[in-house]
Amino acid sequence: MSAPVRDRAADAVSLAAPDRPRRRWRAARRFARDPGAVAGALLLLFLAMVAVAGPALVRDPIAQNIPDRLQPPSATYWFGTDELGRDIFARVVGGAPISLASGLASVIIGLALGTLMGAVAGYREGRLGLALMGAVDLLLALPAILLAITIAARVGAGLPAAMVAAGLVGLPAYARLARASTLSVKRREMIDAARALGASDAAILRRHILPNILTPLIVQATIGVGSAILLVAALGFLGLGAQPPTPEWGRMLSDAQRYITNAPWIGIFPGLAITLTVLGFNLAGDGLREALDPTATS
Amino acid sequence: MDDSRTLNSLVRRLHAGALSRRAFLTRAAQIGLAAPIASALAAVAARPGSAAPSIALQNGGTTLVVAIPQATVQLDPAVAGSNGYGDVLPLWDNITEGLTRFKPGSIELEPALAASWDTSEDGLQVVFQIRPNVSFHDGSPLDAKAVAVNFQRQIDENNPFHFPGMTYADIVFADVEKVAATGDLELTVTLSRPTILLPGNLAIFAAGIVSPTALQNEGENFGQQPIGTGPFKFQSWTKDVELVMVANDGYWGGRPALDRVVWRTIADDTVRLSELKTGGIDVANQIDLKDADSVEQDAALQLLTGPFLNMQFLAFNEAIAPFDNLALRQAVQHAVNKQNIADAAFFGRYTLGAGPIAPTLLGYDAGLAEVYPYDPEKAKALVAESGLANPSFELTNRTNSFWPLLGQLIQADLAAVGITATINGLEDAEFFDLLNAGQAQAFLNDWTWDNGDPDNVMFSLFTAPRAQTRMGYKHDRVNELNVAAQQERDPDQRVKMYAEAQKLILDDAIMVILGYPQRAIGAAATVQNLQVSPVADLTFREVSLT
Repeated sequence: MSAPVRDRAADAVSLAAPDRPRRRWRAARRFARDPGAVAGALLLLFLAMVAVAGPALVRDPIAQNIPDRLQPPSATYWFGTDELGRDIFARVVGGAPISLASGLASVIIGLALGTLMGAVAGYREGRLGLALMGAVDLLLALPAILLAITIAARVGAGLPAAMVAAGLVGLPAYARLARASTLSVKRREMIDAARALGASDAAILRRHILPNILTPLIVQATIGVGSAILLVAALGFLGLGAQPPTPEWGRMLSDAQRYITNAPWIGIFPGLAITLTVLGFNLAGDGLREALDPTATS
Repeated sequence: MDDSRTLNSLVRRLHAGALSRRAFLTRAAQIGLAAPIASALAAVAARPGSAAPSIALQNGGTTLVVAIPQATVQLDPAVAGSNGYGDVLPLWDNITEGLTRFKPGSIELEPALAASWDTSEDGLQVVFQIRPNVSFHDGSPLDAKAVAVNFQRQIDENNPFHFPGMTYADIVFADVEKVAATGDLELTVTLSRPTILLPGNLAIFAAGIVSPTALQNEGENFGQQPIGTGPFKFQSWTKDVELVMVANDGYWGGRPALDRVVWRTIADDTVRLSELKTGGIDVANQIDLKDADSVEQDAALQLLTGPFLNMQFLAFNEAIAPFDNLALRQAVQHAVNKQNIADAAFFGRYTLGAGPIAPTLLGYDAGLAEVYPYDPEKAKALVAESGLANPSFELTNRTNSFWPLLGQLIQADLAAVGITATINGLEDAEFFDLLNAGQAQAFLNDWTWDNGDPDNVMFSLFTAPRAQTRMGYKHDRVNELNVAAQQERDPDQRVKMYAEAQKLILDDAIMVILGYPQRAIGAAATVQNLQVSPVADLTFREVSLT
């Protein structure tokens, strides 16, 4: 840790540059005027509410009721029942927190590691940077599903394995983005100024570079949550994610496959839930990107 | 999910000359099929006059197309056991035959390549009279010497024709000490102890007799173009696409009615069923039982069902906690609702579990179902009696087919009586690794009979070394009974022995006998004389098309 006095002095330089509040306000206005973005945000808000409050309001998602198995949607069972007589509505609602949490967790893993690697690689271009980006490129060279299967096979099938796998699959995108932004930010005069004032490398990275490269990363992360949820569901579908009887959407889809001709509702509803969630994140992410694009005019 | 169908049709059109090779490649690339294509092209390049239509597509003659879920790897009957039913079904009593065979749809033994056999007084020698005037598909004659070559190559690891993967030799030739041709058509087999199981074991696919001449010529390549004596001759095989066999005009039992049988692999149950419904295939082996009703109600189709010799169980490892506790094992016996399994997983086409020996076999006793009736209250009392507070364990289960369903049903039943089961889902290879390491506390598995003898489960599951490694089970009296029953010639005495052994096994509560599923085949209504076999073979010598 360097002396706090010098750090604060360096802060003054970085804060003096842009006019942050006004820029944020403009971005928010642009976001609100984009119907797609608003729809995405509302969808996410709705899903968040379902995930938080829903599970307490529906039936037990793993309670079996064999006599009522394979019932089509009805007033009693809004989405029908599955092969063990479980309420699909309860399972879809019960799956919401699982899918949202696993999507967010994977993105946080990928974002944190990717940003760290990318920012360091960009800041220290030499051998360390090359080594870091080499490792990232290696990850990028592997097909996402294959990488995920390898990880799941290594640490054992289960939701945590699926989350780590999905996180690592997303990592290269964040790392490359972070590195590219760092390369441009570090050439700005403010960095020279901070260094002249005696700030350490770690302090420069944390206080000056990170805040300035965060915007594109957050946009990428918002879109990434959608892909992560999809990947976790795909792993669940392949039997490498959540284990039964956990009501995970991908797993439900894979179990539904066997009944696609007899009882299509078993697969339709978890499928719709995945679609809506991914759509929500993609719309919101696209809106965020448009809104924060510095080249866009309002 | 219909990649296979698309590729099949492309390959067919290529073979038929309707597509140029370049057009074929372009289209195949469009559907993203890089890997299988190279092999398909190579196969076309390898055949002389590749513009000639595939035999399977020629009109004229009766062709039956059958789809099975498993892939075929090679076609040497002695090696087939290590690859599964994709290898076994085209061979077993179709291309190759053994000295004995099962009557269609039953476990009744009848002579096949042996016209008759006699067992010596002391039970240590079995003399087979080989059927005269039988020749292999390559024209070479069948005699005692040819049969001896076939047996010796499995028994003797130094035999030049002993290939890797002869995993069934230990089962088929258990207790066989010596095999010798003692005449042109007389084969003498010497046993190390007087067991009665040899004739039944020789009906297993792995005892199929192949042409020694072909073995000599082809060596390890034999499995690519098998030569047997069966009602059908191997014709052509495009790996992962189709396997064609044609009627053997000189078959000793009379030429079969079908001119050719085409085998296709369609792994997905739903796709196999829709191919049957749309007329793409004539026979779909292994219909998912949930679809049995819809096949039955379709006027253009017929559903063939029957019991097959399979027993499903939940086994405990009594060498490790918590199932070293008898009361807990008994609690689980009373807690599992077998009727739910029958309804939810097998749509009622299921016989509820009694003893280890399956229905139709000598020694089956339906009354054994009463030993542990479904009784959650009693289960709760037994949990209390076990002295274990909140018992919990890991239930090792396979992740494919109906197994996850069974696991979840049992998990819920146990939760209702206060036992917590966590499901540990594993792929097949890992699953058996864990079992064989003796590390599974409890596991779900099944046993399919290879022959029609109760010994196949009683000895294999409760006396063979795997009883101790997988379940920590060793019961001297049970072992004594199982070994004695292998040598007992009086069926009534054997019934008594197996009755006592089954009772002892149930008293130990070492496994919950869940039940015995049925098996279903879907076929076009035009298919005649096809039967569901208890040992799961699929033979076509008596089948015809109207």
